[in-house]
Order: sequence, then C-alpha cells, then structure tokens
Amino acid sequence: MQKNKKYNQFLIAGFFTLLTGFAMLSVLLPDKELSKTERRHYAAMPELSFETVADKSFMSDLETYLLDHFAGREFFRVLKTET
Amino acid sequence: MLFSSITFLYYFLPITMGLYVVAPKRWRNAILFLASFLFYFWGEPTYCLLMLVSILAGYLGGLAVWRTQNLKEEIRRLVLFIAVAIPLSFLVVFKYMDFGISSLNLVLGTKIPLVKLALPIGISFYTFQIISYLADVYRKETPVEKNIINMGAYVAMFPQLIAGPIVRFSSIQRELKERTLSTDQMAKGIGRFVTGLAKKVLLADLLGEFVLAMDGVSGSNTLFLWIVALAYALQIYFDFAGYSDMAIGLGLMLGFHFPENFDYPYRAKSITEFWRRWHMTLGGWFRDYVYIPLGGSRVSVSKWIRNVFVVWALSGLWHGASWNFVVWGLYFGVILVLEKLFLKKWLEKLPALLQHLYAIVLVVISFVIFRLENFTEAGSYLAGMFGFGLTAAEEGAGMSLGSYQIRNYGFLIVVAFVIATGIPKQLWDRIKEQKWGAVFEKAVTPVVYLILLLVVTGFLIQSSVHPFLYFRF
Repeated sequence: MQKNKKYNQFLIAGFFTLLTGFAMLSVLLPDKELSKTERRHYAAMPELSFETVADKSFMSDLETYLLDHFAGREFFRVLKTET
Repeated sequence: MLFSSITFLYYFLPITMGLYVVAPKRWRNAILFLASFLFYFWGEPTYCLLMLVSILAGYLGGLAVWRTQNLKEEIRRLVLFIAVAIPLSFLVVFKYMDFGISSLNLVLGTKIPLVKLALPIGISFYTFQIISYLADVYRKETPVEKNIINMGAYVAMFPQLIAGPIVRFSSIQRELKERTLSTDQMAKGIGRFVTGLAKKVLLADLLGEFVLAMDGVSGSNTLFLWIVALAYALQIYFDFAGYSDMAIGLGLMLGFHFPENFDYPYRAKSITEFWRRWHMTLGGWFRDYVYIPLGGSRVSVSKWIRNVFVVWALSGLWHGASWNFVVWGLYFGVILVLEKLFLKKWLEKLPALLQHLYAIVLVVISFVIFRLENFTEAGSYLAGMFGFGLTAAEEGAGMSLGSYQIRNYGFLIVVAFVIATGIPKQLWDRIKEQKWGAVFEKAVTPVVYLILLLVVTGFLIQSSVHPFLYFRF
C-alpha cells in the first residue's frame, strides 16, 4: 500500500507540475509578435470588455492567444507533424 | 469551455483543483459551484442565467414536493407536475420550438416564422438531472436538498454539466455532503481523464477529419460508403465515450463517483445488448422516468409495444430537434421489439461472429440516419451502401481522391476499431494480473500518460476547434 501511495503522489505531482509549468512559462516568457516558421503575426491578447465577453469573442480570441503563445509551441508543432 | 482546449486544460483545471484541494471542506461545494458557473459562463455568457433559473426552480420545486409529501396523491402529483414543467418548458422552448413550428408549417401549410433561438449548451443534460431529482423526491427515493449551494453544485457540476453522464441526485447525494479526497482516487481520475482526452483528440477528431474529407469526394462506391459510415460510428463513440471518461475522471479527482456511461458498445451481440452498453445513463433515465411509469413490459403486448415506441421516439428526439432523430429512435424501437419477440432466440443459435456482425451492421446503418438530417440524402446514402443508385461514372469519379483519403486514414480507422472492440483493454488487464504486471504497469502508465498529454497538446496547438458532437443535444 505504501508503495502505491508513493506512486500515486508521483503521478499527481507530475500531472499538475506539467500543466502549471507550461501555463506559467507561457505567461512569463515574453510574447513574440512574429512567427518566422509560420510566416504570420501571432494573435495579440484580446481586449476584455462587456461586449467582447457577451459575444464570446473574448473567449475564442483568448484561446487563440494562448495557443499562439504556448510555451514550446515550436516543439509541439514538430511533435504533431512527427505523429 | 471545452475540455479539449488550452484554456481548460492548462489554466482552468489546475487553478480550480488547487483552490479546491487547499480550501476547507465546508467551502468545497461553493468553490465547485462557482467554478462550474464560470465554466458554463465561458461557453454561454447569456444562457447561464437560464441555467441559474433552472437550478432555482429545481431547488424550490424539490422543497415544494417534499413539503407536500403527506398530502393527497392528486395534490402531490400536481405539485410535481408544476415543478417539472418549469425546467422542462425551457428545454421545449429553447430546443424544440423551431422544430415544432416547421413541422406545423409543413403539415398545415402555414407560414409561421421561426424563432431561431440558439440551443443552450448542455440543456438536455442538466434539465434531465433536475427532473430526475424532482421525481426521486416525489417517490421518496431521495432526501430533499435544503442547501441551494449543494443543489447548484449538483446540477452545474462542470465535469458532467454539458455532455453527461446523467447523474442521479441519489447516487451522489451522500458525496455532496461528505466526501474524501484521496491520492488513490486523484491518480485514478487523472488516468481516466487523460485517456478520455486522448480518445477525443487523437481518435474522434481525426476520424471526424476523415468523414469530412470524404463528404467532399464526389461520387462514391459501396465500399467507400461503408468505410465512411463505420468511421462515423467510431467517431461518435470515441467522442462521447471520451467525454464520459473525462467527466468520470474529473469527478474522481473532485471526490465524486459518477456512474459509468459506456461499456464497449461495439462488442454487443444484439441491439438489446448494444443499448445496455451505450449511453447507459440516458437509457436508465428513460427506463425509470418514462418506460416504467407507463407500465413497462408488465402490460398487454399492444401496450408494451406502445411503451417501447413512446420511449424510443422521445429518446430519438432527445438527441436532436429533427425528424431524422425520431426515425433513428423508432428504428431501434422496431429492432428491440423484434428481438424480444423472436429475433434474439434465433440470433443466439448463430455463431458469435455473425451475432457481432449483425449488431454492428445495424448500428452503423443507424448512424447514417443519425448523421444525415436530410431524408433524401440519407436515403440515397443507404441505397448506395447496398449497391443501388450508383452509376458506373459516379463510382469511377471519386475513386482516386477517395482511395487517397482511405490510404491516409485507413490505419487510424483500424486502430480505432480494434480499441473499440475492447480486446486491447482485456490484454492489458491480463498483463496486470501477472506477477510482474503491477511493476510493469507502474513503469509504463506514467510514461504513456505523459506522451498522450504532450501529443494531445500538439494536436490542440495545430488544429482549429473541434466541438464535441454531443454538444448539440
């Protein structure tokens, strides 16, 4: 049982460290404006206002922003192409 | 908010879980309710008010039903009727209004304009949960909930809010009041969640890409039509079962045990068995709140057949406000009646392989009706599957593009099919029983979860948004 507990703790810590780690890195690393490999501008942080929330554009633009500025974006792009 | 989004996975989930775990026990339901509200608000900033009103109606309705429990039966029924009518009327108005109007226009030749209301996400699921709660209080099968925060947490709980499983109040009522978080449950929940996420993003979404690509292929042949129909049947399974896995996993992480929703439905040897394995919580809901109150099967044969058809027409309609869903439901109603009358006995004499084939072919056909809302389209598709109505020119035209897509996605379809049979799961369980199995499992699973999570993230980053199919219901 003791062993199981250690294993579970390891799994839980790993899972949340991974999630928060990527989230924090994404927030802390400076935003790039231009992508050389994708040849386009990255999305800017959407403006938070009553209108943008009410028409849901804030939510979808925020997702695009988070995707564009996700830490290790290049790595993940390669990972997807490989699989 | 979508489970398969960066916003949910990397921000909402760790923050919510962090707050939830750190907070004192008595605050947890409030945190859960607020987080769930934010989760719903993200997808429905206006309709979230509708959900709040439904919760309030369910809460007050439950109290009213409970307060009147010692009065005369007629009064109790009336109170229940009024309590159910409020949330149910929202479902009817926001989901079925235009369907009703256009059907009326079609039959009477009138031209009543459509109201064009967008469907509030998850309304079919949370309304059914509220109704089950009210009915259970009425039947004295569950205690009344006097705390509105608990009621709100029950209805709005974000893991199952928008696509099930449909959780009975009685099954989690104890856990709403008192539950423990354990590393064991948390670890299990994480595993279940990651598995479900992978089913959704790596199987269902990719199968969806294939189905979409093949829709663009002009002209077709019988084989292609079968492959696409099978791919769609697999897509909807992994989409929905993946969602259920994620919901059950998140539930475990939060300390709740939700009911199972899928049990390898494509292993079924008959349609009766298929429906015992597919969307089990919906089947259970219709059994307990429609079929049995109507008399179930303990009535004359004609009444029993009526009961079956009522349940299946409603169950079809629950899946979408369109006639093809009614036909889809009744299609199953007919097969189920036939199976119970004689077909099942015949089938059981056949070799197992033929029984499996029988079930899967009928299910694949059903999902053609399910997918194509237009009857003409569905009709010609089905005719094509049996070799009718395809001209030689048509068969030739799509060949090269179609074969190209099938070559691209063929491996995926085979893998998805093999997983859906449940055989890999059985092998895995066999391995775990071995002496070295436990050690092997501990060495392998974290690596598998890690890889799945990274690959899923890669797919999310590279692709556009894929909503869940069951969000339409």
